[in-house]
Amino acid sequence: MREAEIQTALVTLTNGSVDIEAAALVSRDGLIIASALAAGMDEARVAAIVAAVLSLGDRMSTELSRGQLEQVLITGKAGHVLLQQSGNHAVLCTIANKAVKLGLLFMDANRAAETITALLA
Amino acid sequence: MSGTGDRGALLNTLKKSSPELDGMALLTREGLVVAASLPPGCDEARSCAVTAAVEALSDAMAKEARCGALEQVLIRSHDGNAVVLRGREGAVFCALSGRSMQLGLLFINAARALDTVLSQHGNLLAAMPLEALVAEPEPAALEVPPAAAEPVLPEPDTLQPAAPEASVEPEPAAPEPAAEPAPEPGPAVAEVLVAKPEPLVPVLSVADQEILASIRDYITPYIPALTDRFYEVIEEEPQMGPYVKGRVEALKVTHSPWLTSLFSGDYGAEFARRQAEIGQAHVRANIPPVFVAASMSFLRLIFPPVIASCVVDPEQAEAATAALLRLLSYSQRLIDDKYAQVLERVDQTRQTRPGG
Repeated sequence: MREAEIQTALVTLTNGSVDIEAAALVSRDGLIIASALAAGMDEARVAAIVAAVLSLGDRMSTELSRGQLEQVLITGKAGHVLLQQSGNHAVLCTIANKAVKLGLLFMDANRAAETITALLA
Repeated sequence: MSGTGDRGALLNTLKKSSPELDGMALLTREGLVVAASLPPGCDEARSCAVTAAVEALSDAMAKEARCGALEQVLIRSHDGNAVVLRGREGAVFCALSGRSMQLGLLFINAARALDTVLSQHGNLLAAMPLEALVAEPEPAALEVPPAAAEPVLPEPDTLQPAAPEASVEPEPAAPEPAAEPAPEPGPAVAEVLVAKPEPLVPVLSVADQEILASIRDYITPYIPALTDRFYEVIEEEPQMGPYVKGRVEALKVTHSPWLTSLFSGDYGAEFARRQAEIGQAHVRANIPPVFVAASMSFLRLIFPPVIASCVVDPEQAEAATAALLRLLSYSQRLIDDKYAQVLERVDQTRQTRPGG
């Protein structure tokens, strides 16, 4: 069951650190594929915005000659949102609180993205 | 303009503040360039437009993910990184680094550069609206360039002339517009708008309508963020704030669908009726006409960068922008018309008084 495996990968990511609060896998056109979001987060809205941010980030990277986009990290007063491509058609969105160690967040998210890429391939 | 010298000084500060960075830009939240020093080959206007769009959308993302108000955005790419910071006074700051600079260092450098700019020019930025400092405003973004108006329009009286014409129009419609027969070929724009909203909007070509509908899917995700920002600005504005005080949340409920309706592709009778209704509601609520005018101007300012950033082909983006600006003018004219009717009643009373 690929769906269950993807779900497991997301749950592994969120369980890996107390500071990682939620994760979702979104298609590049803004639809939810799988999610381990916190209660009260609106899946559909999160998915739509994730896809839009990623495509704009892509565009910004091109405009500013930074090359192929790899990750977008959005930092708010209370937490971080990390977006990265996972496979050709999906985006992994990881939501962490402010206490998270950024280095660890990048590593954990990368590992999950690789797992999911393999599952989607 | 007076901003030019100040801008020069700003740019100098920018360049000196952190030579390790690949590039920097200070821009308005609307995406207009205030001062920029970017790597060769980067288009300042486009870069800033897309940066502002990323900033606005990231803010929405942070809120949606319950991460609080946006502090910064990091764009990590294969050949380098970009960090976007929100400064005070409505400024957005973007700093670029090459692949070799560690992320931690980029954050520190970027924050320091922004600090330097704000500490040396904070008074200036606070004293004048950021827009006054904007480097040569992107022509396509602010006004409909004649080129974009195309021969599609019989009379290219798209923006400014329209509004006064409509409010001065001495013959504004029988109370029930439906009975009016079709006007003769080439009717005056105002006549058509006031008397008979059914025939399709003379100021919008079919191409205009199609292109607006075609970008709907790209624009929709921004609408909540745009509405939030719109009311944030209005609430803070001392003259306009009082009119929305205490009911912003309620107003947002109607504002978002209205913004969405601008991209419906259908601007016929129903659209016209809805604009008239909005006008009526504003008149009833005693909201002064300048409020509508200022709101529309604000939308004219914030939409172009958003469109530019989500429509890849620049020609398409320009055409879509021009179409949207025409549509906003059309909408404003329909809303204003309700005020015109109020004034007309006053005017008639005034004229009959001395005579009779």
